[in-house]
Amino acid sequence: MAEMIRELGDHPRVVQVVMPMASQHPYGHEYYWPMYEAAEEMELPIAMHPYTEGHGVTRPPTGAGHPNTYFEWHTLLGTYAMGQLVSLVAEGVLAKFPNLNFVVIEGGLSWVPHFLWRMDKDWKALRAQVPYLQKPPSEYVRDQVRFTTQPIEEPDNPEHLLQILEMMHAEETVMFASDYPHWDTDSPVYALPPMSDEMEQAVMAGNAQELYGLPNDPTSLPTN
Amino acid sequence: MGKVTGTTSATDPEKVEWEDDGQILRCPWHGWEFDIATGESVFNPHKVRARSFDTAVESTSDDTSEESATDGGCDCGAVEGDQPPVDTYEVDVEDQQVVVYL
Repeated sequence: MAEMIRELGDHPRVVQVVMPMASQHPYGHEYYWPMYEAAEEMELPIAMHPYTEGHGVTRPPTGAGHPNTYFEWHTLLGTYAMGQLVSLVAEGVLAKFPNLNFVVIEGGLSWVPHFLWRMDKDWKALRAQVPYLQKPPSEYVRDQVRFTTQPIEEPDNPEHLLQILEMMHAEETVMFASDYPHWDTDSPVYALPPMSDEMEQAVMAGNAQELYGLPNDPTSLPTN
Repeated sequence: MGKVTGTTSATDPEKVEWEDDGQILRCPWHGWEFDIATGESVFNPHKVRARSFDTAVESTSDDTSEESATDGGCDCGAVEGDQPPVDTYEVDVEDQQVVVYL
């Protein structure tokens, strides 16, 4: 994989490396580090997308075990992302590769504030297990990890979703994704709650432009 | 009282070192680590700190002899005077019975 990233990484139409959300080991494991080194070198973010959880050499797709329904798997998409992210933080991947970005695709995002709060709380007591972290875990995530919106959670009160976006600094960390044309696609017009112009610009365009180096004019993108 | 210990330090995930042995006080409740000399927390020394007190090692008297050292026996009082400080009772054996006269 590392060789492939170096071989193809500078193609003008390649902007990131995508991994399935599950593999044999949690993604912080040193086994994967050569790939991260190559991606950082080629200035490519690494995205994680649900696909392999529960298949082959991977672990069950939920913490409770193998579910019988797709309904259960889809409801818990975010939990596998949590397992990978805490591994990337705790094993020191984000600290060791400070110019490497990760993207969580199709995991939703309302779990992110709770996840960050829990890491920061545990870090106060368990810091000695991860001494290479030079700042609270949440700051590594805020600086190096981006989350896509789909499938967005839909609380009864849209204001509550806006509060969650604010809690996770969406103006820096969130990118809109539609997953069109899948059954669980989100509308770019209706999926997100009303928000400030600044946050909306960042979520709908700016954060992705910055991460992937995209131009303001889409017609200037390479076509082959 | 929390455990006085050391802690880990690293600038690279592949090389973790043990340091400050005997200088870190670990809270017995939540495990937060503090510098025992300053009270500053390890994880956020600029914001979180334990209350600290002035401490010093001093002699408790001018006489530095070891007069208070014990002989290893129990600290239950010395026997003084000609008579032991105990009560005694008349005891006799009558018809193979031990009789204590109070």
